[in-house]
Amino acid sequence: MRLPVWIALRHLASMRRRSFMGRVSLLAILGVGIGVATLIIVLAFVGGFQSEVRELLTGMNPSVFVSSESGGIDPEGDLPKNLQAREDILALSPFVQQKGVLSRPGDAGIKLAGCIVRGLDPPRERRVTTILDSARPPFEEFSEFGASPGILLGRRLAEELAALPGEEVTFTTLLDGAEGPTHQKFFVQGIVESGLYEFDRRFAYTGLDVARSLFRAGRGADGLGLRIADPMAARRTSSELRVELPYPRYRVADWMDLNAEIFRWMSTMRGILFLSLSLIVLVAGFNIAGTMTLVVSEKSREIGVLRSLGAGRGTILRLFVLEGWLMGLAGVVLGLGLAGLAVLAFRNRSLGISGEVYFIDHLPMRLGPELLAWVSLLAVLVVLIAALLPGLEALRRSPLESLQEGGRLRA
Amino acid sequence: MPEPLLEALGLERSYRAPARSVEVLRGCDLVLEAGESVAVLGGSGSGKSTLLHILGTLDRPDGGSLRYGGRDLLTMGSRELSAFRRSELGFVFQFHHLLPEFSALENVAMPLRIAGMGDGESMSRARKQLESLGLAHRLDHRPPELSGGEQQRVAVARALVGSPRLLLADEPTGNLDEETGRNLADQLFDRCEEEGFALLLVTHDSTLAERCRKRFVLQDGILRPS
Repeated sequence: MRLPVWIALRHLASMRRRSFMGRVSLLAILGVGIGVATLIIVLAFVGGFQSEVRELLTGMNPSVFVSSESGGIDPEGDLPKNLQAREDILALSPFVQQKGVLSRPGDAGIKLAGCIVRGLDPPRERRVTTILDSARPPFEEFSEFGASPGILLGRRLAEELAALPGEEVTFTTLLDGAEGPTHQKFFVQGIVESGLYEFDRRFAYTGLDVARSLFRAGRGADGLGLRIADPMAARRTSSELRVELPYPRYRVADWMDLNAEIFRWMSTMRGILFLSLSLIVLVAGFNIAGTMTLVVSEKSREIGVLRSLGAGRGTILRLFVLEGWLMGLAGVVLGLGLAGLAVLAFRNRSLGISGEVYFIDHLPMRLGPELLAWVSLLAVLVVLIAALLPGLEALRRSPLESLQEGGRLRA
Repeated sequence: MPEPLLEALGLERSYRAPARSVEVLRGCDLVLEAGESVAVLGGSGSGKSTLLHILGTLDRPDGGSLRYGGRDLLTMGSRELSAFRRSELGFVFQFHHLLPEFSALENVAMPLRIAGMGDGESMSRARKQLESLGLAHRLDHRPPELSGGEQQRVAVARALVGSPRLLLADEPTGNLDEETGRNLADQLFDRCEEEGFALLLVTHDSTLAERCRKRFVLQDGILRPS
C-alpha cells in the first residue's frame, strides 16, 4: 500500500476514537450524502416526468402529421400509398377535425366546454396511436344509440360537462358560411384517459364518416397521422417529407414540433434544478474542506514529524487530499445508498401532481445509470477540489512551524 | 584533508516578537566530523533547539553558511532537502513525537516507507531495530500504551532505522526520570559507537553532555567550547 493511502486510511479509521473530530467528520460525510441523495432524487423525478410526458406524447400522437385544407387529402389516393411505400413509415391513419363547443343540460343549467372533435377510423388509428386503447369502458368500434352516433370524451372534458358514459351531449360547430353552425347530438360511448391533461381536456373522438358529414369534408381527410418505427427519429422523416410534399398544399409536422414548448420547458427546468441542487453538493464540499482544515490543524505536529523524517511536500499534499477525498467519497456512497432507498420506496408508486399545471397528474421516478454516473462524477470532483484546499494549507507552514504547532517560538 | 561531515559558519537567527526582535543565534560556528559525538549545552531559551533545527534543515538561518559533506544545504530546494533528511539524518525530539494512530513497529518503519521501501522489508528492519532496543514485546502497542521511556526508545529506533550518518537529538532524556534517562543514553551512545554515526546532542544536562567527545556551550547566541 502506498504511503499516503496507508496513513490516510489509518487517520480515517482512528476518527471514531477521536470523538470530537469523529463527530465533525461524520457530519461532513452526512452533508455530502444528503446533498448527493437530494440531487439524485430530484433529478430522478424530473427524469421520470420527462420520460412519462415523452412516452404519453409518442403514444397519443402520431409520430408525424401530414395535413391539408379541410378534406383535402384522399385517404385512398396516391399520397397515402406513396407514404406507406416508405420503409420508415409503419402505418397511417386519416382524420378530420374541427373546433366546436360541446354542451350538456345539467341541474344548474347548460354546461358548455370548448373542444376539438376528431374523426378517426378505429382499426387504422389503433396502428398509429394508443388513444382508443385508453378508453373506458373498453372500446371496439364507434356505434350508434338511436339516432345519436357515439363519441369518446377526454376525461377532463367529461368532468367539465359532468357527462357519464351513456349520456347525451351536443356538439356545435364553429363553421362560418350561409348555413351557419350545425348541431349534432352524440351519446357518450366512453371516456378516454391518456394521463396528459391537455389531451384529456381538449379532445373528443368520433367515427371518421360521422365527422366528415358533420364538418362537410366530403370523402376526404384533413390529415394523415403517420407511425414511424422510432418516434425519436420523427424529425428526420418530417424533414424529408417537407421536401417531398409541396407546401402550402401539404403541411408536415412531427410530434416534437407540436410539443416543442413542453420540451424546451422541461429542458430548462432540468437545467435549473441541476444547477441549483448542485449548490447543495458544493456547500457539502465546503463542509468537507472545513473539516479537513481542522484535521490539518490537529495534525500539524504530525506533518512536521513526517517532514523531519524526509516526507516531501507532495507526499503531505497527497495524504490530506486523499483523506478529504475518501471522506467525501464516503458521503457520495452514502448519498447513492439513500437515493437507492428512495427509488425502492417509489418503485411501485408515483407522486400525485396537478395535471392542469404539469401536463400529467402523476410523477414517477426514473433513475438511469447515466444520471448516477453524472451526479457521482460531479460530487467526486467537488470533494476532490474541497480536499485540495486543506491539503494546500498543510503545505503552507515550514516543517518546523508544523512541528511546533503553528510556529510557536521555542528557542 | 577530508571534508567535515557538517560545517556551520556564522549562523544567525532572530525572531520578531510583537515589541522587539529576539536575536537567538549571533554567529555560531560548528564543525562536526563523521562518527563524532558533540554536545551543545545551554539553559532554557538559549537557542539550542533553534540551532539543532537549523542544522537539521527544519528551519533556515537568517545568515551564515551550512554545508554537509561539502554540499551547500542553504541553496537546496524543498525536494532536495526532503531527500537529504530522508537519507542522511535521524531526529530524536524531547517529546517522542510518535504518530499516535500507528503501532510502535509501524512508527519505526515509517522513515523506511517514506524512503520508498516495501511493506515487508521495512517492517522486518523495524522489528530488528526495536528488538535491539529491548522492545520486542511492544511491537504492536500504540504510543499511548507505552511508558515514557519506551516511547522515547521507539523514537530512537525510528531515528536509527534508516542508518543515518548524523543523529540530531534534542533533549532526548529531558522528559524521563533519571534512571530511565540513563538507560536511554546508554543505548544511544552504544549504538553510536557500534554504528559510527555522528551524534549532535542538545541538552542542559551536563552529565549527559560529558559522554560526548566534544562539548560546546551556547550562550548569548554564541557557541563556545566547554
